[in-house]
Amino acid sequence: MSTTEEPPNDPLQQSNAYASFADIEVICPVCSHSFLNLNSLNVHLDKDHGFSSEAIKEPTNSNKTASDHLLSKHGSNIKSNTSGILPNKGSKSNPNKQFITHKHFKQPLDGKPKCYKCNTTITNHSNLINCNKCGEIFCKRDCKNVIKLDKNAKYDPRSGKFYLCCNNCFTSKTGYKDMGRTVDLTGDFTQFRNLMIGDKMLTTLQLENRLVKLIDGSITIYRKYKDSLFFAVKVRLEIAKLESSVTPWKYDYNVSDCYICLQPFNITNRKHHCRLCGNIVCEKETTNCSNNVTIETLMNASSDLSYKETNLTSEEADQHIRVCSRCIHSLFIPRKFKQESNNPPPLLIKLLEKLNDIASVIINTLPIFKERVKIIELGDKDPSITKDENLIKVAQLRNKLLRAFALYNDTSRQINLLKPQTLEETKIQNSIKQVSTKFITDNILPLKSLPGIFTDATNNTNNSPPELNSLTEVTFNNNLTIKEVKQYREELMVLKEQSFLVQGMIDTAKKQRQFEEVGSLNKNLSELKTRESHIEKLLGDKSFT
Amino acid sequence: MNLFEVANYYINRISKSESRLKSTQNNLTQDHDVPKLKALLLDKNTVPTISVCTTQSELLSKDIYLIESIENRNRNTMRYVKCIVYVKPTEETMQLLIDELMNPKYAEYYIYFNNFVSKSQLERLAQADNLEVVVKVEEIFQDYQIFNDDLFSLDTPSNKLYSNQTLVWNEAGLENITNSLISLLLSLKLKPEIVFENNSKLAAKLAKEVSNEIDQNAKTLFDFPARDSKPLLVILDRKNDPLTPLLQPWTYQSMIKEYIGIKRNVVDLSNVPGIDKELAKVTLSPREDPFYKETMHLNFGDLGDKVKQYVSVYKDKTKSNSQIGSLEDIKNFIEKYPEFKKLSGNVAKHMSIVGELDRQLQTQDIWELSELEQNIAVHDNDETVTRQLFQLLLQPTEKLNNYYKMKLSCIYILRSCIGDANQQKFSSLINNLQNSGLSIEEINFVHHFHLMANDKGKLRKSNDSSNGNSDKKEKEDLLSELAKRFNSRMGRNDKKSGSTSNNVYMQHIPEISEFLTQLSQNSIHSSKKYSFISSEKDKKASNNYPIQDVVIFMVGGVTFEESRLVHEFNEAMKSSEGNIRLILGGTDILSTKDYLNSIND
Repeated sequence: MSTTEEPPNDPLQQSNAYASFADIEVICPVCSHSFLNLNSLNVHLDKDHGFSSEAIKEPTNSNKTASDHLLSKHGSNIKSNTSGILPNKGSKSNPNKQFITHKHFKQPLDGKPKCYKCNTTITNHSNLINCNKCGEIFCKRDCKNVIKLDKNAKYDPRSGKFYLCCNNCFTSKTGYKDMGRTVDLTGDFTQFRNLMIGDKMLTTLQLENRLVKLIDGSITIYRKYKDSLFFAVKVRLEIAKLESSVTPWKYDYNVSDCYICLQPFNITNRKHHCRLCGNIVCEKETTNCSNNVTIETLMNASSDLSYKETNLTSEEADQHIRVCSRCIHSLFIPRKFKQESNNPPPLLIKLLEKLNDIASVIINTLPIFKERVKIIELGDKDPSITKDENLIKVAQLRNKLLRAFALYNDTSRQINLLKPQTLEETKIQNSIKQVSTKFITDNILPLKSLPGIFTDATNNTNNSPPELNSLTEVTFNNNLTIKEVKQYREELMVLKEQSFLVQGMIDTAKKQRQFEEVGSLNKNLSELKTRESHIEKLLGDKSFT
Repeated sequence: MNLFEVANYYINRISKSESRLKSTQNNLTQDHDVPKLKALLLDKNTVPTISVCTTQSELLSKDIYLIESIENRNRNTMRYVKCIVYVKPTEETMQLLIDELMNPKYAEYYIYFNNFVSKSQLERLAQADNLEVVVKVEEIFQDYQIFNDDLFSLDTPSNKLYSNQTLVWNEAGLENITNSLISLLLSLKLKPEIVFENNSKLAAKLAKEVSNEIDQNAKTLFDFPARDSKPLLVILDRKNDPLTPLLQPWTYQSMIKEYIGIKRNVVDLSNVPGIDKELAKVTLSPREDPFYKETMHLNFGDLGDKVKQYVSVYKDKTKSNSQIGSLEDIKNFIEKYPEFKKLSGNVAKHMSIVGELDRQLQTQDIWELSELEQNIAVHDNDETVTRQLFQLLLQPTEKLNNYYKMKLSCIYILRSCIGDANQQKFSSLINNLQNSGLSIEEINFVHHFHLMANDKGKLRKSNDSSNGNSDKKEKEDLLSELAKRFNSRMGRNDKKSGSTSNNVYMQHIPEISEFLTQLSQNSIHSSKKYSFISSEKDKKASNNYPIQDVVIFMVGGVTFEESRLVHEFNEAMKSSEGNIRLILGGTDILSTKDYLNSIND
């Protein structure tokens, strides 16, 4: 057990110490008492923990336990090299025996048992052990967990008994890796909701009817007395009559607090009746418990109701009806919600949908493209495969992808240029910006790193790297996207820095009269300069210089 | 038994909320497709959970483009957005949610609660949903804050928990803690046997409460398949180990908490002199930052080595980058640039944090202080230590902050001034304190602490004697042995200490290590220090099952120091394929200041 002595510098020293602790002797998995060998551990398990109490009652078997049997049998098996049936019949014939079955135990095939886990050959037979659950052969080190099994070696957490098992069986038992309890309450919720929704619809219907009656009635009254001398008096009387016929008002004698905000009424805080539900409410501006709303507003907000008259003069429409906030809520919030849901989504959302569509096109096309490129790369090594056809396909795919990227970029730029109407839209805009930048950087790489073969076929004889060249060709037609401009600028920056450095090196070399170095440096410099000017040309007025 | 895995599972579940099928859509939204865009609506309780467990870009990749707080009433209507609500079912939040449903701002609602809701709460909510905008209601269980894979906190400072001077629970506090613990158990799918420390009334009461709650919901929530060895929920009391939270901590994670402060994974470095603007606020999450995950439990000496390595790796990379000769190199550079930038940002971040820690240690003279603290904590009745203590106490306030003087006195009291026999030592301490520049309130606090410690000490003594020798022997146990070896290794690396064998700054071993040893020996069933609550049916079964999954909960808060021990225990178990998995948690995570304040309240 030399492994137990760790070199002091080992950073894992601390943790390995536990392992070594388990290595030195056999440890009882239940009480951690240590034993010299497996046999004594088994005896201990049986006696002290009652793992197989029957065994002790069995006088014919003296003190031998199930595992004792196993070990001795293994010993003989290995010696005689006859793997296969375990001579287990002796124990089976005895009906009192409750030992776990050993039928599934694996036998060493060629006399050289190997640990199923660490694959080391087990030379010492006392070091060999079968996992009681899966039956594989292990060395003692790799089989020291315990699991409750019934006598058919099935996991039985309730009435089984503890047996040694391997780590794999231990960790794969039911519930070991289980986590994340959730309870779906949607059913209960909808049930509650459905219970109440019928009532609510009735109430809303009643309110709607009252509203129609009130509005129709007051218009009729208005028209009837329009030219009368006693207009004001008559109208007020008639309307009061109408209101009381439509809605039963609550008695206000013993009501002292507002129905909604529960604040007490007094001289300044007067009682009012809601003309729709009849409840007594206040009209404080702070709580907005009730309001005098014009007929016009009411009708506009509920245009789907069947009013008798729809063409009103402005005087007619200017009459008021007192409505409480609850009635307003139950009448008009659903209408508002419905109306807003039917509104077409704002431009931002439309663009976002477009963006997502393009993204899915790119994501779908990319793997095909990569596949094709791979074929070409193989074809390079094997000239028998005609590559022209493939090349054209790849070029087409590539063009398609590049166009998609350009479109994607365009769309995301468009989104960024939108003026957000609300704080939320600003947030969404920022999120889109993040997502789109990440999307491009994640996905554009395979386009850039094309095999050289591709450019051979496109007959490019330019000095600059071929893949960059073809990229620029396409994007040149599409104008440069912001992303590309950025990339080119970055590259340009690096180039400039490089040429500056090289220039410095040339100068020092000249001072030190090392002219052969100057020559090669000069060549480098001119290479850098050509590339620089190329990029500058590409960037045009977008270059930062 | 990995809290971040649970969190990931839940977050995926939340963000995958699918739209209802077209056929079941009501008339209101039938006309056009329900959009992909999602908003996440949180309350003040779930904001920290979410911010620790995930990042914005992760949420973005799940189409969550908008994150809002339900407390913000000025949100605009966004009829084309699906809304995922993730809140804690408190009264306050429920009312806000009801208001939201009465006047919905989004197209559809998927409501997730982080703990169980009562039937009446659900009914009220259903009543408010006139427009049938709610598509889904679900309880998931995550009513706790995650710090590490194996460390959680309930984030409740002790002044909200107790009445009558931390002796008994107040009702609301007890209910909160119970519910949170239940949610933790549910999220790990554990139906545990409950163990508590005998001598603590708080622990006993909480244990009983949790056990009742589990029994009540045994059929509905805790209907997990039986396991062959029962999980344990162990409830410990901070008062049984008051020493650990008083000592200056030395691991990376704990030092950040102690000297700089960390909130929701954000470290605020804006007060550091000469800090770069980009580094004023940095995030530090073991989930996102592998270097931090690797180093968070290391002590300052080892940490220094690691940072040095990290920097040299970085330097190597810069070197290879600076050798750009050909166009090919340039291309490579540009492609690797984002990765490189990320690395350089991370290096700068850790450099400035470690730099700031070092600065704090120097300016506040922590090295000397901590050495003395440890010496007092470990050596009983050592004359030279006492002399050193009194010397330090008499130093001017500018040199040694009054706070540290108070803390030193408290540590000294715990070790040397307990019991009537030691009354004289206490009075000499007080004499010294009076000349040390401490205010009357501060000296009063020391008196108060002495009284408390004395009460507790008597209790402990009686407990100790009843336990006999068996517990004492365990002191010489595997874990402390290991810890000692570990410490000695640290001592070598810790150049500043200059000591040869022991790391003088980490001599004290928290009490929890003794408990861990008992766990690994499976002897807590026989220990008289702990009591068990288990249902009648289980009592019949032999309680000699091997221990497997354990949740340790510390009433009164845990320290990162203890979390390090638990983490090391877990790692050791993992590498030796042992069968014990631990989760540690507390009502709060304590720095020394938090702890002294909690006593002061």
